[in-house]
Amino acid sequence: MSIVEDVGAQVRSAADDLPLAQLALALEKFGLAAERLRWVRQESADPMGVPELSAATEHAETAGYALRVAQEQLSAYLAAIGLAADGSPAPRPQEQQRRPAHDAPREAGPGAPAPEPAAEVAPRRWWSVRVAELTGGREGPPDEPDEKVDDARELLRRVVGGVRAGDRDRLHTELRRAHADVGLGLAAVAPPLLRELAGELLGHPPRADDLGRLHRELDGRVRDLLPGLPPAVLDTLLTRICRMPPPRRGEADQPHAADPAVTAGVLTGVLLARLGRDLPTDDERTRHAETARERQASAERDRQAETARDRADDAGWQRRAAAAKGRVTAARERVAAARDRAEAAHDQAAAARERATRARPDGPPASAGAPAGSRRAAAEDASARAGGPAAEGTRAGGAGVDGAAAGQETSPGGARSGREGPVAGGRPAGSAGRVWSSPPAGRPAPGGSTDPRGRGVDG
Amino acid sequence: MASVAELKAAIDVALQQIGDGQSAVQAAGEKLAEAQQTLAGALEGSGHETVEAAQSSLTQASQELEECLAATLVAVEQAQLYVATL
Repeated sequence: MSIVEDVGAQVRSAADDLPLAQLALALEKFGLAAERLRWVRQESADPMGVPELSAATEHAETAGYALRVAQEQLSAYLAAIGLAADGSPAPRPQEQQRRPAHDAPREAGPGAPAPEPAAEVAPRRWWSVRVAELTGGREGPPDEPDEKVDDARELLRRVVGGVRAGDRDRLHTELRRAHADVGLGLAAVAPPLLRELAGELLGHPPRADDLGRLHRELDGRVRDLLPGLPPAVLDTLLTRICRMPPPRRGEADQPHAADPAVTAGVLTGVLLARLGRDLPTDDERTRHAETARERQASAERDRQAETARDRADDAGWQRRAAAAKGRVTAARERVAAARDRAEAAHDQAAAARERATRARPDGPPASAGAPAGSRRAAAEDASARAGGPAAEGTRAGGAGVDGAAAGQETSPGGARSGREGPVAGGRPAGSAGRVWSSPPAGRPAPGGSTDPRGRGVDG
Repeated sequence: MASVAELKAAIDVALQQIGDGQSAVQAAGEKLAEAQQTLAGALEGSGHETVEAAQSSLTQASQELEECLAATLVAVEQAQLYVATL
């Protein structure tokens, strides 16, 4: 099954499972109750809840209309995505189910002595007539309704008993004696069981491929029990079990209101007989529903846990990626800083070389520039090794060039390297290259030495 | 001639029928909620107008069912009050 088929099956299943049958049942009950209350309250000024009941009926009818509209829209959607070629909404027998049951007594005159029997006879007759047609039984005068069968589940239990016994007369009698509204309730209680039982028979949830097998397995027995059943009714029921679109059908081919209900009940019995099972009791149903709910909740919890795990994994990856990015950025910054420092050092070295080049021809000891430079270099080395005073002493005989190694001039330790630049040693930036002069006469030069040159260029 | 006891019995039957109808409406509401959940899961991400319209219709149906149930509760209350006055 492809993804789109799966989506279509889910949508079709949800559309088929819309509670139109339950709503029809509720309308039947409200109609009967309203009729009875109307009869009771004749000539009484007390409304006795009748207007509210009418309002409730209207709300229920509106809800039914909204459900049918939703069904049609979902069918249109399936057609739009290419899954339901006919695009026709599912047959809606419930509309017909609602018609005859309680409308007739409402038309009875207010003075009718006993409207209740009329309300019961009319629906039972059409129901029992149709049951007789379907089962091929006799159509005699209506039997007394079995008041014990006031619930569709009880009727289903009796129908299943008749089917499992293979007794068509008993099946005929049980169905025929039921009230019409109870009989129609079979269409509401049987379908959920049908899909479950069919799944058990097949070994997997029924799908489109299984339609033929279900026909082969079930058609014969159902036709034995319901010889008057139009084939299209069973076909429609089986397609719904398989979550397939219902077969296209004209308005004239719409089934009788009783047909889907009777067929669903009988088919439930046939499936149970094939499986050798009994109808589940209320307790079993409750347990089964609870198990299903728990299974669903567990699946939901698993799904949420998996989602949370995936999210946690994603967050971990994101954290690790962010940390790696941060490390890369920091490394880049360190590289950039190192590059800046290297460039600065290179600039300083270049400046020092330039200053040295400029200073060499100017100074008085120019003739001895090279020796002076050699001496200064030697002195610098000595200063670096021995300390600051050596620097001052060196200046006395130097060429007056205070370049990048100016730190040696001011640093008491004298161990600073000239690479530290002009700022090092607490000397303001830009002081390199300043013209300096010797201290006035009689004032000792810093460091206690006198400068024989008088003036020079610093840097 | 009808007696008060018969009157009360008739109203009791009507109340029983209303109760059955309420159960059916509640079952319909639960089934509708399941269908809405199924559709929400299956059609998540669809922007098709018919899907939105169908979901609106289902929401409307759900509200109507709630109002229906509320109206029946009032009806039952009034009928019971009437029985109490008999």
